[in-house]
Amino acid sequence: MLDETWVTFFVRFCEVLAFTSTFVLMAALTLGILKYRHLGPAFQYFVVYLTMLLCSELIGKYFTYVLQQNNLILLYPYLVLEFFLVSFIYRELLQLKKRKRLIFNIYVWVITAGLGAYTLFLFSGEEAFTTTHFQWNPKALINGSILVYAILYLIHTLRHASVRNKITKTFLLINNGVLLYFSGSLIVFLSMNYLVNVSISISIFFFLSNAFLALIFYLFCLFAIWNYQTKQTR
Amino acid sequence: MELSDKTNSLIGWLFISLLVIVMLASVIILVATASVRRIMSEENTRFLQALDHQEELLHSNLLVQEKERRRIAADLHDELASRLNIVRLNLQWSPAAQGPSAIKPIALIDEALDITRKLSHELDPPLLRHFGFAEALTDFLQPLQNVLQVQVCFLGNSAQVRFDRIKERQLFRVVQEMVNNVLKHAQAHVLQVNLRISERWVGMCISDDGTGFDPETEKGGMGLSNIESRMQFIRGKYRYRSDPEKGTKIVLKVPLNTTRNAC
Repeated sequence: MLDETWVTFFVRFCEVLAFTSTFVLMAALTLGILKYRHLGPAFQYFVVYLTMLLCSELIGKYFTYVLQQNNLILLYPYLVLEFFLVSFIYRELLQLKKRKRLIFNIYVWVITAGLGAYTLFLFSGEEAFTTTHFQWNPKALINGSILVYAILYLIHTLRHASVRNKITKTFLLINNGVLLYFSGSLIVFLSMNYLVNVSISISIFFFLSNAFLALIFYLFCLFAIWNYQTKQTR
Repeated sequence: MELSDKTNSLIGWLFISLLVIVMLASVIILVATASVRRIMSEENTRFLQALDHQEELLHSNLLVQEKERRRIAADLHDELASRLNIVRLNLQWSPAAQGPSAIKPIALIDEALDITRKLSHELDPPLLRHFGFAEALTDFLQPLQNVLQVQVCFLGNSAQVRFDRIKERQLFRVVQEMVNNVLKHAQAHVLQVNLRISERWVGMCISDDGTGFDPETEKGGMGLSNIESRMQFIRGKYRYRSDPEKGTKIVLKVPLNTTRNAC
């Protein structure tokens, strides 16, 4: 068990990591917007996803620091959007054949519709968004799905790696970030229902790990977009 | 106390599993990235080899084409033209062909001889073989003015300078192709050709005041691809600018320090 001073230190450190992540995300998004015209469809969806991430981060921070209330109410709409956009990105990247594409589409629409309906249901009762009542399982489900996409893409890249495909070369880096962040995040959110009820001096390490992994993910994104060649070389 | 121990142990396991998962993901990433890099580098090597092979084929094709042109030119000149000359002489000195009826066949044979010589010269310009690129170019451009009513301005700094024979020949073909394109499609009134030969490079600028062309639509055409493969063969560079109604300007630069095996 940590004493009060260490807990405060780690909470502050966690906040610093979260703010640094936001700035890195801003930088990645700015680069993405600047290069937007030259990017392929998957990368363009990815820039939209980064925009969504930044918006949710900023709104979340507005709730926490300005309105002084928890931002759990934002999580479900965010999850629906995140799942939908990430699915689109990977559908482009995986280049699925007709039948697999259909199965993929059905899966995406079923999860999106289910999650959307569940979100609407939750919004009818406010106590669902208090920390003690909040259910984190859908977040774990989405993280798990994205993780599966990332693994599928990794297998796809190993099968169809091409030196001339600049999307493969650069998206592999982002995919590595996705694998790293969402695998750690999956464990954190799988146990979140339990973690929110234990002392902060214990759960802080999980939040710290998640913040650190998020920062790494955004750094991977920034580096990948930075390296994306907008000019064709011969 | 017991509950707290259980909690601590559960939290500990959770944290260990978090670390294990992240480490596992890192290992997968490292192994997969290394594999992808290896695959890409192998593919890159294969791609470069295929490219080299293609280039070699293209170059040998150009050399064979040139050799064949020379052979056909020699056959035309030595075989066909000589036989036509013999026929002409026989006709001329034959007692049966002394009347006015013999004039027409002799004129036809003269015409055939002219065409044969012209063809032979176009296929293998003797001036290019004996006096070099600049002389052959002058010889090629001069008649255009009289025949096609195009004002041709040719400016060159070195008439007798010779350089690599293969480069001379390929560059001549490129210029021939370019000038023919101008004459066929551009409807130009003025054709300007500037030539500059230095110790290290040959520079040329061909411009006209014709209708110009759209580089995007003509990109796949045989003319431009022929020019491109020949220029690639002699390691030359070229760029062109063409605006509709403003004419076309083509700049060529061929380095002279690199050597290639003769055919």
